[in-house]
Amino acid sequence: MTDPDEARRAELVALVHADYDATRSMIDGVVRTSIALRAVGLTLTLALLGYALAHSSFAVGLLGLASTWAFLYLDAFHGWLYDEARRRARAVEQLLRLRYQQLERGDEDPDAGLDLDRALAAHRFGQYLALPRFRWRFLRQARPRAVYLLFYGSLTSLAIATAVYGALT
Amino acid sequence: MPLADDPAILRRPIGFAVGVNREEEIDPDKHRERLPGLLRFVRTFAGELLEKEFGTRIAGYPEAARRKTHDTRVRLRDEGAASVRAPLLTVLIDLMDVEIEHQEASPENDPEEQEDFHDAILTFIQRLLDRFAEYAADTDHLPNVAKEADRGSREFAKAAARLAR
Repeated sequence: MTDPDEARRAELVALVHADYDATRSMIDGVVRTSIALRAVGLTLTLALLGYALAHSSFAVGLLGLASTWAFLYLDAFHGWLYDEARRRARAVEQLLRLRYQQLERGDEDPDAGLDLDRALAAHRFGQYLALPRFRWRFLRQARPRAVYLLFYGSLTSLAIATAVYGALT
Repeated sequence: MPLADDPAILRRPIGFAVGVNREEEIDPDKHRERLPGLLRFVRTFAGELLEKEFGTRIAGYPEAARRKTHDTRVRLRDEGAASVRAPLLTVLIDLMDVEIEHQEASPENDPEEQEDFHDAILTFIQRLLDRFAEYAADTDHLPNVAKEADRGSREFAKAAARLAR
């Protein structure tokens, strides 16, 4: 006969798997969008800055700066989404690890079943329900930080230099 | 050669717990920051325990030690000699996992991860003391250590309750 507690655990773990799949899909989507955003942002900004340099245009130089910051905002928004999803993926993997340990260790770990039950009880189902409403300050959580600093920092410097050059000539 | 019946082996976690319990007013944040230091105790303790009681010598820590501890656990299981030994080994593996993940993650930059890290240390050290007390009581050559581990479990449980947020 099937143990009712074990059957209940198995069903809950199946739901956690569904949560994990949703989180993984979100990470895939966010990473793909970020890469696309950077490619479009770089192309557009360099085109604007190239035009500004060629025509000594202060206004188009400023437009290049605005474009850099607009793409920085969009990219950092996705970076924040990535960070949220990454945390959730870690939490769900911790839970799945407890299931793995409970099955693998059996009676060798008297706390394995209890640990799993506690984690299942505390789990908040739903990747998108768990996502907090966006706030500006969340942009600071965008990862990897070095990429933002290097990529958008260089573009910003280039845009400022181009705008100044346009203004002076 | 088996482990010496010297309670000094448990000095570090018990000293930590007794110190917390003696304070009338405690600052949980300050004490929780000291928790990662207990992982150094685990490193020494695991090395001595595995070598002297289980005949497993560990060199690299935590990855290599985790593999060897796991192998020892499987060997005991195959020999049908798991009993109170296996739970002790599983908690050591859990503590090694905590250390491995601490190397990879950056809890100092992330308050949530830091709290999870500290909670895991509290839980697993408590479990280690409990299971070690059971193990020591089950053998006949560690009566003093068993008594001290038992006292340590109680002190640590009190300290963990005081540090809980």
